[in-house]
Amino acid sequence: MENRRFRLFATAGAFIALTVALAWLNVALGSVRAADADIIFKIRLPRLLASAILGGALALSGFLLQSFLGNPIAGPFVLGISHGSKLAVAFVMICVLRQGAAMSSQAMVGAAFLGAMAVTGMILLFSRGAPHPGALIVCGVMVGYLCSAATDFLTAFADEAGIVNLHNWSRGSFSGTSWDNVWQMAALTAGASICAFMLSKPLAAYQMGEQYAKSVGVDVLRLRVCIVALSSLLCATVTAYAGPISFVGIAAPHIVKSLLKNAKPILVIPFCFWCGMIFCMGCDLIARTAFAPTELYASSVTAIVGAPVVIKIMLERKGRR
Amino acid sequence: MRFRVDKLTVGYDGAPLIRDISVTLEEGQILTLVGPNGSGKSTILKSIAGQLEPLGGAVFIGGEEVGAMGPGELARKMAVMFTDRRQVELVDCFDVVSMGRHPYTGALGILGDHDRAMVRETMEMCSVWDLAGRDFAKISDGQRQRVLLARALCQEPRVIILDEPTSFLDARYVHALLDTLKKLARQRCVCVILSLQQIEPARKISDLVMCVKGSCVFGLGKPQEVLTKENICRLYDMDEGGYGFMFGRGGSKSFFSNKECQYFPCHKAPREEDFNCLFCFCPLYHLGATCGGDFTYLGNGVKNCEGCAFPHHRGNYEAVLGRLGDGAEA
Repeated sequence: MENRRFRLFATAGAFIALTVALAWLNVALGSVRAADADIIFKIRLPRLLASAILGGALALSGFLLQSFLGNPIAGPFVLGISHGSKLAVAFVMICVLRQGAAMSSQAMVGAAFLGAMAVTGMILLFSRGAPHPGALIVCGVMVGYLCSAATDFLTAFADEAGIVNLHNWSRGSFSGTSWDNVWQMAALTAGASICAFMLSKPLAAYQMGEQYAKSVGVDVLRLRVCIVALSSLLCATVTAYAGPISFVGIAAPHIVKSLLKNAKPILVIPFCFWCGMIFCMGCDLIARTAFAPTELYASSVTAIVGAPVVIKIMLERKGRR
Repeated sequence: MRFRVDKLTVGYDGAPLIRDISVTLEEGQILTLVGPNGSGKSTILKSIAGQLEPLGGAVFIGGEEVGAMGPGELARKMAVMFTDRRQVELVDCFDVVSMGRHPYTGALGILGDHDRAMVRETMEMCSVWDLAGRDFAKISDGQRQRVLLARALCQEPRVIILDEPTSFLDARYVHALLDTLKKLARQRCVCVILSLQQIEPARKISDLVMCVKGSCVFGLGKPQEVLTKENICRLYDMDEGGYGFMFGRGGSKSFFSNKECQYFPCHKAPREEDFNCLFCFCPLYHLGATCGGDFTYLGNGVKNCEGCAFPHHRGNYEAVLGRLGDGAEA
């Protein structure tokens, strides 16, 4: 028990140091000196905040799904949500282009969000009828395939130049975030995260198995709906503002659990959010500065950093059992 | 608090499997459901515990109907220990037991002083307090069952339901677990309802026994009245020889014939710790007092190999066979 307390404080300390360091680097590092207040305030600061908020949202969404589905590889994207967003974005973009107008970024955010929520609604309908959580993964993956097939179908008939924005969006990046966007995503994420934190008690019971959760008085069906709704909302927020960012949702919960050596949701939920923040801030820093002035996509960096982490943790786990 | 099951009909998806089960338990009594695998014991237990919607009838705890209670209220009156074994990671035994405080803690599930004291008390009662800081995934099956029992007790229930609590255990632990259970039922005046595959332990701990077989329930009553030769033969589809063999009154020579055992034949037992056939019926059983192990005779003349000094494991099989030969000659 003492060991755990030590780990908790050590992790918290390391996280604070990393957060401060990365925040400073993100703001200060780059071709423009920190003296240029306009660039700092209008471009770098919102971008920093966006990567932090959305990273946290992704990590939390991943943790909720992993503990609910009992599947270590479950992440926010197994439920097909980002594919739904992409389909909606493609659809709206092509319709708008037909009208001869260009699509505003606010419209794209709206379309992505609506698409994500449509898929979420579908998943929620499935989750009522799903005999066990595993069936939900299959439904999610299938919806994902359906949506990406539909997207391919749509784009096949579109003018290549017109949908270049779609390709850019679908690679995932935190760049070009405005202050308005930051406030919107902060509100959505904060709401969903607080709700998720309030679920930590039933979630802890659920870790012991569904029958146990029921026997101590957890309404399992309601928990299921809440988890799917919250993690989808978080994932939808991310997809809408930054496009599909992979791996954070899978990697962060594993990193936190192995750092804390503890799986209590009441601790893991806040730390998971924090870890996702750090992870995305770090990845965005690399994406922006590694090959400056060429900018990488945040999603590629998260995959490059995240995939080895997931592999390492999975292999270690196998050895333990 | 009296526990009553009134004309309960159970089954899946609206199709009744077993009809009209009625039984009443007084405080501190133990009811055991015996029967072969897949006979419907778990279905009955799940329906009683409210995990499966009963198709008819009702269950009462102290006059209150279980179906009418909210989930939280029911959780404060009834605890369950099922065979559902989800892999849990990075959770220590203290955390597992403290999960039993769920119905009593606040919105975030933070344990108060009383809750901690309760966890400690029940863990000590089940002699697992020394495991408190150990990882739940890394303890033995016997320890795990005792931790789960502590978790159920921590819920301060009036009724505990256990589905085959002994199925992962070897002889030593079966004995210890059932002993703890009996003590608890008496001390804390808790009604205990459990299912067992083996007859002998059921005979030993139950106040009431119910035989469950496929579509019917028969022979509800005291163990010595219910667990008769006729009923056991009917329950397990055995002939005289099989019964004689199991209960040591002549009959079949082969002792690898307990087809009800989940690891029949014995040498297919996947892991050493699952190897419990020798407990079901020790091959030295026929030898009476000369078998070389520790045993007692139960009131009805059945030999009870409890605490047998003869190591009950696969590696010792040849020695057991050898001794069987010696005894037979003598």
